[in-house]
Amino acid sequence: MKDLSQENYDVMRSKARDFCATSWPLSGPEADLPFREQVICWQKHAINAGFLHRSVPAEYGGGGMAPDIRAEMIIKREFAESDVPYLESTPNGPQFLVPALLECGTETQNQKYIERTLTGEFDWCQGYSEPNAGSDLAALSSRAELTNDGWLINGQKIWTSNAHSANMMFGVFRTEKDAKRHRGVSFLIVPMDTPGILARPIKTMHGSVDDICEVFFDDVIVPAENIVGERGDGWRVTRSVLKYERLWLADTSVVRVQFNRLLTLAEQTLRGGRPAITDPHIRQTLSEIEAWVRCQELLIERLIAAESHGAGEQLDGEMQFVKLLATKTQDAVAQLAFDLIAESGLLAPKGAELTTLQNLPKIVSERRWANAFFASLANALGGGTSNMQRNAIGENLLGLPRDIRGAG
Amino acid sequence: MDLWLSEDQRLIQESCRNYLDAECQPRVVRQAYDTDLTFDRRLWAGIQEVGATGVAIPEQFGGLGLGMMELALLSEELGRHATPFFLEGHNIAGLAIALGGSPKQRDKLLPGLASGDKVATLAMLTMDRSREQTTRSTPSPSADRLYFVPLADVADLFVVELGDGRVGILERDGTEVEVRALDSIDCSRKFFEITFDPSAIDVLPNISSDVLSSAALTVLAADAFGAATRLVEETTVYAKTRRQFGFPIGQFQSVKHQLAELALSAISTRGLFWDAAMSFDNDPRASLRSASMAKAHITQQSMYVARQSVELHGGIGFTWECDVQLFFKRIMFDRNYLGTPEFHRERCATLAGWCK
Repeated sequence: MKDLSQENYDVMRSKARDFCATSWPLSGPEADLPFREQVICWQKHAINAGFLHRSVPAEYGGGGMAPDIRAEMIIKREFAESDVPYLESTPNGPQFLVPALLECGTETQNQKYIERTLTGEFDWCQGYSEPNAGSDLAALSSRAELTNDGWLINGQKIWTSNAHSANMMFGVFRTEKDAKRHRGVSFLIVPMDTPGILARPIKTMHGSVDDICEVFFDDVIVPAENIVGERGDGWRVTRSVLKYERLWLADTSVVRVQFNRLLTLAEQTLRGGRPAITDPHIRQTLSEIEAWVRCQELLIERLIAAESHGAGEQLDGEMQFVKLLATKTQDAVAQLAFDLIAESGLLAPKGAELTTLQNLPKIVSERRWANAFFASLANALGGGTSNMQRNAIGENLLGLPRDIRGAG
Repeated sequence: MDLWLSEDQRLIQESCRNYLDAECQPRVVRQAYDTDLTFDRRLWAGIQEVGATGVAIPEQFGGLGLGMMELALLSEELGRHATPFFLEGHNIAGLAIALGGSPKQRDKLLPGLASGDKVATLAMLTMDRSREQTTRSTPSPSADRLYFVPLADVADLFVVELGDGRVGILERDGTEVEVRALDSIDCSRKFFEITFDPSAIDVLPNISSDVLSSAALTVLAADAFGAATRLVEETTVYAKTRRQFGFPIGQFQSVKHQLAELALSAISTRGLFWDAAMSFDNDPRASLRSASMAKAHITQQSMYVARQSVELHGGIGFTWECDVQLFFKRIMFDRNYLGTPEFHRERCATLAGWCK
């Protein structure tokens, strides 16, 4: 295991670049494996070389290094610019669950789940929303009852990304009959191959059947030890997961790469025989989008600087803007791209996969940009809608009186 | 570059804020609006005393010996309090002479500016003339008259943007400068027209007008940031106290969400002016693009915040009596003086080399 933390960041940048160029595609016998297994192999190489999951303890399969956000941002930026498959797995496991387990999990759980999650062997989906518990998550009603065989789960989740392809789920279920709302839920781990689980894809507006699902639980039984945290303590674990999800959303390496691709599109698209980027209106719009991108980048730069002075919490307030900022930028990028591709944007994206924040940088073709016109909307919904973000900013940051709400 | 304030910088900003909280409340600002007063000697004397007249002037000349970042933090506080009399311009003039003056010019001028016994201001080209003239190679000052010069009535010294990319100084002492007041909207920084003899201008040998403008754009962005964040705070307080339909209006989601958007528009831009200021301290010539980006984006977003703040205050927000107008007009000045957002967005595009 190499320790890069003492090295100069510029050196690290060029090492990451070299690693990207030489580590993928795989060579030798590994190159003949199925794609998914190739991704697992590559991720193991990246962990061993000190580029991925650097700060996860070595005994759980991570890099065992001190946290260094700046280093991680540099590496991610290089990864995003290249073709390495670092975004092929969903962030649910490695980015959200792992740090939450390190905060709330038992030693046995950490041993059992973390390493296999980092390599991608365990691929996770998140069981939160329900048909009658969306923004009001605490109204969830899927039940888990502790029996002699373990937790007996009945109910339904919805808007579950990747549920049909994931082999594991973490989520919240109502376990305490007499406790109201969030006080009555627990955080459970549910293998997706457990009998009684049905994951049914939901066709999205742009024609994809490959992303979000509804998940039905019919007398599903999972071992009693699959609870993370105490009974009725699921809300605390969930808050920890969501905290890391917001941090992940702040990953600006992706946003910058995406902006650069938009610039390329504007250079390559012709308007009246000249590159569109010479059009004053396009230049204005690009310039304005870049300023928003820069606001995000600089917020993270300041977070990195604050962390290095042991004062990260001073930015807790401003970090609440991150998701809305990202949504705003994604929206502006998608709309300008739609302008640039003009009529081509009216042709159905073939094999439409949901082009989210993660894989948008890979977009180069016009059809993929057309896809982004729909997919950018997902940013306004996933992980809490924009209006819920505005509620949180209004109440937590500005201290406005709480909304008129029902029970609890 | 570590995007973080040192303990000293934090203390400087805090002491600026505390001083202005006490000495520059809206009723003080209003004297510039409701009387003919254009320069408040008492307020200036206080500012002199805390050293804020010589922020970026080296200590050997009696200044604080600090940089652009500290000047930006001071400017944020000036915007936050709508402090009259263009102290930003005075400080940028001092910075320009410190950076670009000959040893003789520095020795002669800096001590007076640092102490604040002498007052300096900026005389810059306006939008319609700046672009073509900075690329023109006329060696002599192109104008004998400049418009939109703040603080000209009391200024002892003008730092003048010449038409050929150079910067000069004009001393009141040695030549006749005719000053005519313009009926200005932002009374905290009233404009004047000045007429002078161009041959009286003494060129600063070591500074270009690009660098001067980079410094000025950065403090304008910081000023607008301060004014906009103040408006978000004031409007939030209003939304917590004003009751309609039996509830504080801030409890209604329409108002809460509008305020959340204002907070985002105002506060999330902080990094832009920090970045511009720190770039300037690192290498002034390398800060042109970040200064333009900060000026364009922050002043544009701040103007949005100001207009929405009026709306959220309802009828009272539209009155002379309501303090919102002080910050609203402050931001108008920051937005249109020295180039509109559109102008600076195009400049960002050009400086990035987006082909044209």
